Amino acid sequence: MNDQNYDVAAYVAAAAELHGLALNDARRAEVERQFQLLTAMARQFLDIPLPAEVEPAATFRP
Amino acid sequence: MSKIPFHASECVAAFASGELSATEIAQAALERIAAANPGLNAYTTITAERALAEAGALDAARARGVAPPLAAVPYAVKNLFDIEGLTTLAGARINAGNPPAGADAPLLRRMGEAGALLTGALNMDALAYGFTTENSHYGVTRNPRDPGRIAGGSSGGSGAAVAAGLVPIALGSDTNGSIRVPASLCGVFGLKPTFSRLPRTGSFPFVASLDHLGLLAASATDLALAYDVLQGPESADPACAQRGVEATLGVLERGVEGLRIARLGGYFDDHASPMAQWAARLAAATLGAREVVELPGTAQARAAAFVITAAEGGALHLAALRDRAEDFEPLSRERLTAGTLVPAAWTQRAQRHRSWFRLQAMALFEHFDLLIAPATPVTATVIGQESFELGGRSVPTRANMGLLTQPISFIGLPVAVAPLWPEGGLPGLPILPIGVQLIAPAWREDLCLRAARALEQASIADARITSAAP
Repeated sequence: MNDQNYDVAAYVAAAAELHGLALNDARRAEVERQFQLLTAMARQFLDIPLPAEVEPAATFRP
Repeated sequence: MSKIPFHASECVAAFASGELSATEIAQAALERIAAANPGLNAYTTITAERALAEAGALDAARARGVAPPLAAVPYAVKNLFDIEGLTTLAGARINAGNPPAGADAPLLRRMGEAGALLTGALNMDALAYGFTTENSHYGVTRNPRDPGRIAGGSSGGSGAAVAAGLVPIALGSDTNGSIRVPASLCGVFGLKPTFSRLPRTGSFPFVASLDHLGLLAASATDLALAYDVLQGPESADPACAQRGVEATLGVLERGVEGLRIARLGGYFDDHASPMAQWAARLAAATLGAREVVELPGTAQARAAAFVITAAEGGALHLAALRDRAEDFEPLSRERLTAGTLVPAAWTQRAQRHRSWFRLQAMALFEHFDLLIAPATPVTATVIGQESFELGGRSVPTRANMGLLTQPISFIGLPVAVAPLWPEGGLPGLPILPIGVQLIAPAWREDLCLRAARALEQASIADARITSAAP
């Protein structure tokens, strides 16, 4: 994960726009805070090397 | 009749012997609820008419010699379960305008067929996204052990209803700890069965990858009694494992002799207050656990569960977040919104970490049959308290009360919670309980329940329900 130069405000604004989510300033600030927390969480596991055969856990049963 | 029994096993016995009618037991439960609920806010709907109708039918059946396994046991359900004729709220105002459920959820049907009496629907965190049951639209549920404190969540109404002695059994759901946290903070027994053991049909979803249904109860025996009734395949639920009933009540008294038991250290010590560590150590000593072991990758597992939860929960509600944001619970709306923005690569990676972490747990279970850890980092916090102390740091309450439960449900292991009671608190203040997690390999709920019962028999664990006397 390379998030040294990542701009959380720009990401949240663009992704929210993609979803059609209209955020006022107060909500946008809190969503940015929450997204930073999620980024910190993701940073903990994203770069741990896993063997390719470790598949995503799934519950779909045809 | 001088005293109406409270525990499920006692209700069944009193009904079977003819000492009490189901109607008498139902009336007593409804009186307890009417008296206590205004102060606790555990129930969002009380189904008195239904409870009395079910009791009347049971009394008529007894005349024909019928006494099913949960005969005359009053119970209630978290308000994310479908109850025929009621709108399924899942704690959320965004659901308040939905049509009433056309049928009971399968788990309610099973309870009803076993003779249990439904007394109502219970409060919860909105959409099950929270650990405190501080619900901005339906009110906070208060902890019966100290009404100034939270009951835990998201099945907070379930924890409070049992702890206050209103009903001996309450159904709940657990995605990241929502049965185990209120069981710990309210001081009652809880069971989160193996992922996909109990059918989820007829319950409002939160995170399909992680949602479990289960129950809270007044004793280990009551837990086993109801759990045995809830088990079984359900063809309408494609996520259900479709296993047959593996009954636990008959093996409950076997104790833990011969079981290889260890206490989880590392992450589970690092994220536990002295009180929580005391509880896990006492349970370990009592059950004869000699080793302390580490489960590799636990912190990352918790982080991965956190990301999946936000992403799946957010995605489920994206349309409503776009169109009706003002109707959402303000305490979780922006967390859900942030979840909708999570890249797919993160959730895919998190799901792969889940598979890897499961292998780490399976390796531990080659050497042990049962693992012990605290259920919550701390005892119940004060209502509105934004943070608590952990390892010399201040951490936000809402995100961290599930620190110790989240990694375990991530890989679907069955867990029973048994409530312990630290002594030596401050004079004049109530003693607050804290639970331990008794964690077994997948499909071995019997081991969790045997350990919970063993702690109860050793007088270490107890739900201490005193307000049940009519």
